[in-house]
Amino acid sequence: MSLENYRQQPAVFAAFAAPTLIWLLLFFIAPLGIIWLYSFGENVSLVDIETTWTLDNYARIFQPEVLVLLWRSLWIAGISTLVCLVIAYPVALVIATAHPDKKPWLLLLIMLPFWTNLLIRTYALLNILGTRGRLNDVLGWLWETTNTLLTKFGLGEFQLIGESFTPLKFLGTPGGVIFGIVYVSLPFAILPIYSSLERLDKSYLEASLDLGAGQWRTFYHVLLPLTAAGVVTAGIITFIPALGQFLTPDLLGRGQVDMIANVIERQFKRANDWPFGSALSLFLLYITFVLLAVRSFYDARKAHRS
Amino acid sequence: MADSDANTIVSLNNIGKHFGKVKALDNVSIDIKEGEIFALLGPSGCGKSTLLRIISGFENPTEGELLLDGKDMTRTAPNKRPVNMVFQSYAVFPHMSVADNVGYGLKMDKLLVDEITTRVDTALAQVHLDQFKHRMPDQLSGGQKQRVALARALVKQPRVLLLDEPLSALDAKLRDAMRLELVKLQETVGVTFIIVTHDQSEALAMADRVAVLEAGKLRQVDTPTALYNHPVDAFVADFIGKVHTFDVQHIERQDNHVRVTSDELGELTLPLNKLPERISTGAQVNASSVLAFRPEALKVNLANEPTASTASTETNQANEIQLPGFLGDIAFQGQHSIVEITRGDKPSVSAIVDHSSLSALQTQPIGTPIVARCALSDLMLLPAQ
Repeated sequence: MSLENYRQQPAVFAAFAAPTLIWLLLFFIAPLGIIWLYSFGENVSLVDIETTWTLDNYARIFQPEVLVLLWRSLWIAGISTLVCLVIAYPVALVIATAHPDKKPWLLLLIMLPFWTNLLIRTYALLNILGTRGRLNDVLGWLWETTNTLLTKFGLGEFQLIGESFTPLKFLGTPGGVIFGIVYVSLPFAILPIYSSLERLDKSYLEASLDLGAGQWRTFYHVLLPLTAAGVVTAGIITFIPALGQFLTPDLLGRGQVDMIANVIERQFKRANDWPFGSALSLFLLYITFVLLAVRSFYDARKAHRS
Repeated sequence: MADSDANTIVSLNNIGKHFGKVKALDNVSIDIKEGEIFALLGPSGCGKSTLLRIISGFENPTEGELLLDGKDMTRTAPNKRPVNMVFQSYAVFPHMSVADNVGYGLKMDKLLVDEITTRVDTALAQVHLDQFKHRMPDQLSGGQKQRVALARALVKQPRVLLLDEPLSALDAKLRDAMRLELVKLQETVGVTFIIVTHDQSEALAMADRVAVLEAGKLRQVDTPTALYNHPVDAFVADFIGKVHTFDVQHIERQDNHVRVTSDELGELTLPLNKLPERISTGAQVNASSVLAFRPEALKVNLANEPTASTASTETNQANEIQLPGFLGDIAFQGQHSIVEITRGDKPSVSAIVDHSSLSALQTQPIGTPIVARCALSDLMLLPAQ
């Protein structure tokens, strides 16, 4: 029996598929179903929730303070994704065009951070981004050096770069949170772009150069359009987890740059409002569905055109 | 080098290319004339594609110089050279329509939209694709994609058109049609074509002149007929068509002829002009050589059959060699047939035989004793390497 037609043997197929199906059913579908029921429920006591099919929990999403949070989650995730793509494309290009012997090592470097616990990595960022962190140390040193140089050239009295160095605030600002999200998501953005570059027939680029386009115009007219699918995949794969980021805004945002996941967490813990938390969770899921639907709609239209 | 020749359009002077320790090209010098179809021919890995990429600018030579129209372009960027390329994979941009593909190079030259449209239409008409202007590449067949690639390169009015294995991706029937069409197209546009190919029949059929390369070295540059009839060595003879070779043990140059001794063919006296320069300069003969003939030079008769030559053995014996053997398989090819002559433990030879000679052989069983003859004037004395 060949590997392909195992599907025609129901018993064999069941043996292969059952563990995964049971796992999915028990630990994914069932909890999701419970959350779905909760989202139509009301707290009747401290611990009991009764499903009354009320739509109140969903209506509460549209109150201004929640909408502000949703909007913030969207733009922070959006900007993080853009920054990721802008950094990821050149990195992917370098790896794709590297010598074949070096490629596995460069890819390993990209994957390396995954082997460290996310919590540890985020705490490391706290150390770097803090008011007295490493990044401010470097900026302070740069300020001192510039100031000494300016004084040497007799420009010290004009205070061109301020009277003294004021450490920049990264923690508790959207900038800090975006930095953290970009740091965590970057490998997810690099890999799909890398694989689309890797698959690309290099003679398209040579043809463009041969026809009189320079490197930049070749990038814009040929390379970018031909790897657009990889960029879109990288964008989606970065944006969706970024939208639901919890740890990064929690630690780097210092409670001042809450995103939607932080609010959801609060409903399940401090606020003890599981029905509203469930409704918010599912709402986030719906946004994801809409994004994926838009994507497959475009794919289908493209496939239809050709 | 004849680089002062006004007719020369591409001048490759002592080109060498090393990839690490590998010498892909070694001291190659070729002059290509304006308006000719020039083929770079050789087995895979001989450096012909590297040479094409040096002319197009995708590779820089390690040594030597490249002149285009007399100007040194050895290190000029590909987009600044007056040459265009038709890629082996065609490289037709999949995200652009046929018209946009063809107009791409003109757009990069910042021509006005009206002029681009006119020139694209003309180029598409030249390759008979006027009806396909608005199609996307994935709606085209392989042959049509190749026409798009051709039009896209020709619309730039290059001084030289480079074609990398242009027919290799097409099926056999289309290949023959496209071969003719490429030659006709070249006659119409008058642009110099440089074609890279590993297929000798393609090179011989299309090119005005052919350069044979092997292991990074240039073996011979000549017209197809000269390559076939006067190959410089055994490699070229074998690569351009089929050839049978016999080791030579001794060559002796005498006043007006050469005495050649071969274990198999015996002692032969050949005219002096059969002795190539590379085997001997002066009286000294030392290079290892072979005697060779092509299958069509062989005449096949039954062993006991009297022929014109056996009738007057004394006078004619010196004018031909005889190879006794046995009738092997006969492969019918249409206008002619290929007859295999087995010779016991010696390598068998094949002869190309026409219909009239075939009829006598066809009735005989396999293994019938036969004699193959080759006139001395059809023998070639060639350096083994």
